Amino acid sequence: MICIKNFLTILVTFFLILSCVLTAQEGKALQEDSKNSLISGSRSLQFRISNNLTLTSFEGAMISAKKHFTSNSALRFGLGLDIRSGQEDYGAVEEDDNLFELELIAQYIYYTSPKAPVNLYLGTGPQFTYNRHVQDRNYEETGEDAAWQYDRSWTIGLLATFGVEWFAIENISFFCEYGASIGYQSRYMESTPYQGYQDQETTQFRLSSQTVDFGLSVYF
Amino acid sequence: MSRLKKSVIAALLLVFGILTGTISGQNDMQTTQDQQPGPQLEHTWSFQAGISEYFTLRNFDMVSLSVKRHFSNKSALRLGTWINFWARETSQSEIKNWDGTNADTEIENRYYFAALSLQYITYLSSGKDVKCYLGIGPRIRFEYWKTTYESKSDALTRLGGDSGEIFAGLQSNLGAEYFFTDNISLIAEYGAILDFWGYSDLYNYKNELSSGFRFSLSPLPVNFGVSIYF
Repeated sequence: MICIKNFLTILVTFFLILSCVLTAQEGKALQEDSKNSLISGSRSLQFRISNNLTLTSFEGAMISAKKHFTSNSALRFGLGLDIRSGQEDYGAVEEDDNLFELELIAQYIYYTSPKAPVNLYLGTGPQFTYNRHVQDRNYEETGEDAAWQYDRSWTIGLLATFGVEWFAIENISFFCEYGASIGYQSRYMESTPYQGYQDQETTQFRLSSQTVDFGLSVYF
Repeated sequence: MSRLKKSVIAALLLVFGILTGTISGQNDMQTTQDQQPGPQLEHTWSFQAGISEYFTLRNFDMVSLSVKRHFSNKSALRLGTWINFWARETSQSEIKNWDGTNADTEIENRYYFAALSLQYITYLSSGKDVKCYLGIGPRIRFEYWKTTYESKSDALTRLGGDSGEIFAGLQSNLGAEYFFTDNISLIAEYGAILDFWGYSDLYNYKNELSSGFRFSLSPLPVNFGVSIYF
């Protein structure tokens, strides 16, 4: 009887220790699951997940990148630049076409709890855009103006976003974010009279919420 | 020593034995994982294909065939080509509206298209699964089409035309590559191009030449695709 009691005691002790060990390991595994790339010095590229799971550009058509200074804080930067200068000859008419488009976005991003399985973040920063488009048509024989159009606009604003980021693996995350912007825009247009106006100047102040962005971050 | 004490010590030894074995095994596994260098890309070839809607495949980087050759783990050359040519001859008979007589015509169409891109790619980071790379290199495209009408009737006034365009530029891409197996990776890259584009259209019925050129620095659409190494 004593032998059976001893055996049962040993079994219970064994299972208790085993349970403790397994629980501890499970906890460790959960902790490891939330391992991510939100660490000082990490860099990432951001892409927007578009229709039917295709990728497009996120903030800025040319590049959208992020650099972490600490696990909590990062700087997100977007650049879009398009410069075109061309000339077309249609026989009787010659056209010069010049376009310059620049978009700069910088946001300071703060992660509230970078070790959590799902990371909440807040961001804010300036946005600047500048567009200039000039089209000039001349009659080739006489050199006289056939048509002239000048369109220049710039916007300066402040963006604010908040979103959540979930790491599918250590280096790849999915995020979705809400955002709003406040901005001031100035636009000036000038054209030959028969286009309907000679010159027009518009200024605009706007506060607007952005559509939800869904994206993918790749850390390296 | 009582039998109970002996039993407890034996049980404890058993538990610690199991624990030691388990932890040691986990450490070995962890060490092995940490030491894994990731995919060895040196002297490998790969094909790239673009991923389109619902994960269907399409052309990658605006070429029909994209091949990459790694010289080392950190450097590679990516070559893209797209060649297309067709020639078509049509014989037709038309009734002229003004006098009701037939006009027999031979129409010949020819179309030539060739695109070539070459990029030197250097890997900026050498992570185990995710790598970041920068690519730079030239891209050219040539397109020409010609239509000729040969009338067997003197009355037919329609003539042909020809048109062509050439595009040459320097392209740069910054991308990230995720290896989900040693041989297959997903790639996503931003790009920009500094280019020259020129065209010429000649419509013989007007006898007018239309031509133009353009210099530009523009962003390229994001390339999203899959790379298969062998």
